[in-house]
Amino acid sequence: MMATSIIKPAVPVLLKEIESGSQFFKQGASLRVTGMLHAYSEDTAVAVIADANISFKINTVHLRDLSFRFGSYYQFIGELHILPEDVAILQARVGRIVDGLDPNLYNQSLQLRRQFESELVNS
Amino acid sequence: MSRRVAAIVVLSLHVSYCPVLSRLVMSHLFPSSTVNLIFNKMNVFRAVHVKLIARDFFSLTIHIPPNYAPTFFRRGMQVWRVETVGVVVSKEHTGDYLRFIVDDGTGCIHCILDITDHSDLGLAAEVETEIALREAATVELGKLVRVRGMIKLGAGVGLQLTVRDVLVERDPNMETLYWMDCIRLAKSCYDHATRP
Repeated sequence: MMATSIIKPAVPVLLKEIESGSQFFKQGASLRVTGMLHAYSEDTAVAVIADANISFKINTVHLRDLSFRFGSYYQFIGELHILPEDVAILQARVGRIVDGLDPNLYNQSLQLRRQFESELVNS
Repeated sequence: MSRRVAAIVVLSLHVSYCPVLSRLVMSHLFPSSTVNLIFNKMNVFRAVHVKLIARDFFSLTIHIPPNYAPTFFRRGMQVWRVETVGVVVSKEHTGDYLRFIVDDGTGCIHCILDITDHSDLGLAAEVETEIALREAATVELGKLVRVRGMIKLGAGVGLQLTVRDVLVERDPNMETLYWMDCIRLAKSCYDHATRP
């Protein structure tokens, strides 16, 4: 269903970048996160993904038609919800399996793309 | 001179597929002023889907001449068609159109796919309708898609794409490779397109 409100682009980030004090650590920030599924609770619909020894919680209650397989890579798009004591969870609105994604290529390309974006803004 | 003209004709056949390569080859055969003249006359980017990240797409300059359709420019280079790769984050089926939004992480591009049934106009139109319907069926929330289309100025949404074709990418690395394509082409081709 087409959203009537303006959809903000979800900025791709690494899990290690979502920490207190980071430019991405803001209430309601639209983010895209990637990691391997480590845990999933059917009762709460909360998934835990991990990348480079950093784990992160995803609320998947709004997702449909997405199966959860431990060890598979997932990418989620949603809004950051910061709880008391700086605990963060992503309220996912879109999710997909990205098995086969080369994490090193992805991380390096992400840095290059950010550099290119800043060049576009400053030119 | 006639051989040179013949060479221009032969090379021009390849221009819409690889304008940069053709330009490089031609620059060895002809003075740069001649090459520029040829390429400007041909409007090479009219037939090419320019690869832009959404931030670049939304930075296009819009010219609205009186009594004519709007035109779009990237740093002086006119752009007609654009290709984008991103995740479908919204989808709506209204009447004969499928409207969806592609998020590539730098912006959300509104795309419109016409699925009007034109089968009464002949076999070619029937095939075209069938292709559009099949493509529309593949567009789902969360899918990584590659969209090619014409730039339009939509009421209320600004720049958008009238979809020519949409393809669901199975390999997640295609998005990463697309980012690299956008950066490489911007620096090696698009940034120099209007310079002598």
